[in-house]
Amino acid sequence: MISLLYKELLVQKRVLGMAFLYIFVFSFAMKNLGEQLPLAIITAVSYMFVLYGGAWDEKASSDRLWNSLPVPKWKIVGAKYLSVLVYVAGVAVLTWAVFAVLSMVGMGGISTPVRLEHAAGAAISGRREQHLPARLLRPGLHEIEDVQFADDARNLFAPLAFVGSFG
Amino acid sequence: MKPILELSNVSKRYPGFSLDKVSFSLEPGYIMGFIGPNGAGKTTTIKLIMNLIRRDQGEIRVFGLDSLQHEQEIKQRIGFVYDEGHFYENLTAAEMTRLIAPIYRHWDWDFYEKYTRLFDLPARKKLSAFSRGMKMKYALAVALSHRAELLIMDEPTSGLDPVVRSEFLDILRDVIQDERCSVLLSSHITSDLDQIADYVTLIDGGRIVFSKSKEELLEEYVLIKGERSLLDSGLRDHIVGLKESQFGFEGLITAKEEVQRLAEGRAVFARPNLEEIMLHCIRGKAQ
Amino acid sequence: MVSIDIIITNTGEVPIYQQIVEQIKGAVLRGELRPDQPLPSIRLLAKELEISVITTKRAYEELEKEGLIYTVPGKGSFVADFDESRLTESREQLVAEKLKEVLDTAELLGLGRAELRKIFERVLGDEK
Repeated sequence: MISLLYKELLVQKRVLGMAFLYIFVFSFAMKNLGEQLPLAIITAVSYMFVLYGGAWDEKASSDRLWNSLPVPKWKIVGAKYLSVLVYVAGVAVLTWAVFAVLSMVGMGGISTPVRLEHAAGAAISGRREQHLPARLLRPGLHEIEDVQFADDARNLFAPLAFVGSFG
Repeated sequence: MKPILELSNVSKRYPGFSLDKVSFSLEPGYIMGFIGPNGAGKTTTIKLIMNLIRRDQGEIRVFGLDSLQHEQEIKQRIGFVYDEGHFYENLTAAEMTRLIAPIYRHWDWDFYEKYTRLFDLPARKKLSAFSRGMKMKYALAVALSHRAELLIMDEPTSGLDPVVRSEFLDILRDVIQDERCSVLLSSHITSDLDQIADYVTLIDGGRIVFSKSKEELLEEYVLIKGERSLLDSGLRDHIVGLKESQFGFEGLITAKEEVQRLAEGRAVFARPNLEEIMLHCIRGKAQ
Repeated sequence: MVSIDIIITNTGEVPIYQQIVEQIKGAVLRGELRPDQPLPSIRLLAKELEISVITTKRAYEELEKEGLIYTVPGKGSFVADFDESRLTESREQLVAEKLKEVLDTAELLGLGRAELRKIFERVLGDEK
């Protein structure tokens, strides 16, 4: 499990730098959002991480690797979901840090992003939609199909997930 | 002795293709070459063994354990090498290994060091900068570094030059010396298997054509080439996978003495290699 | 470990295990291998000759059947001890077998005895 999460860090090292940049830029560009700003930034940036991570996995056909290693499928599936939370938490911390720096320099205030709503930043990932109806009825952690489903679910509902972590 | 790998009536259906009642087994300490034309079902079979896809029917036992019920236990003892990279290319070899090592209970860093040194693999270079041969060697180093008892390789040498392929075979020969390890090696480069395989399993169109020791195969089949006129003397029926050309015919025969009699010195006999056996057996099926 | 040379060819009709048998047999009969000398393990032989271990196993089994070697489980195979008088007899046997093969080939190719003798004389002459 640790390996599965650690891999996200290793693979996305470069994106980290970009993330800072994005947060910084968004803080100015989207200032008019006011209270919603942190929410929007966190949604956007963590979503970027999730999609990027998914793309790397896809490029490396890494599912073939993880499924061939002695890793129980529930860990593979679980890590995909968990990574979303980890990203959101991480990006939230980054955003907070950037805001803190900015406020020291005299910019906008930090407002703790409030409740729910606005999960709908998600783009629809078109591929393998057909898995969704079936899997929604019978969600699981152990089957081969669950691994694929987790990928799609993660892309679709990532923004929703972060809501829970702030609740 | 109990087979280290055993498939019984394994079937898998796809819209355009199906694996039909595939059965074969591998005794411990030997190398089995898994041959067949492209699309015959080699990769599908391997995916079924590794549980990357689910089988519709049949049983797969590895180390005597069912591949579904004891999946993790089995995978701890299997080393795998596939033909297409499935590692993260933007990581270095060292980083990639750091991800994999903790997963294996019996990971041995000494072995890994030994192999990376032997294969001359740079630790700090990104995997994307590795040549194809180096990527295969990396996968092999990883596969050999956790005391695996079974190596499963899917076309590991395809696209590699003869020098690298020869090195690969040398390494395999070394690995097999202590009889602790067995190898299932699928390849369409039959010349490699001519050298290294103890057993050969031929699959075509999702069905197993034969699965026997190479020794037995070479005993059973003899390559015959001769004048076309010979075919009329009743020889035609004896020939497997007959190929006629403007200048003669070629095929495989099983009953050597009888055919020699019929041939009356107007045919040449030779020991076939795996490629010829494979070609004529497949051709024979189609006829 | 004894050092003998075993050369096998992939072409030609003689099965590889047979080639190994003949060469080891030859070495024993020529006295190059002495009784109780250890032979390479079947796996080592397979590795060095780059052939299957099943082939080397078969060769050793054949040699054991002919009484030329014996195997101690867990230790390996060794040259068997047999009396010297058999040596001459076996040597002549070997050559006779080879000549018979030549005869068979000649027959297949449609060469008669007379032609065979001519060829034999020619070869003998060349070999001087």
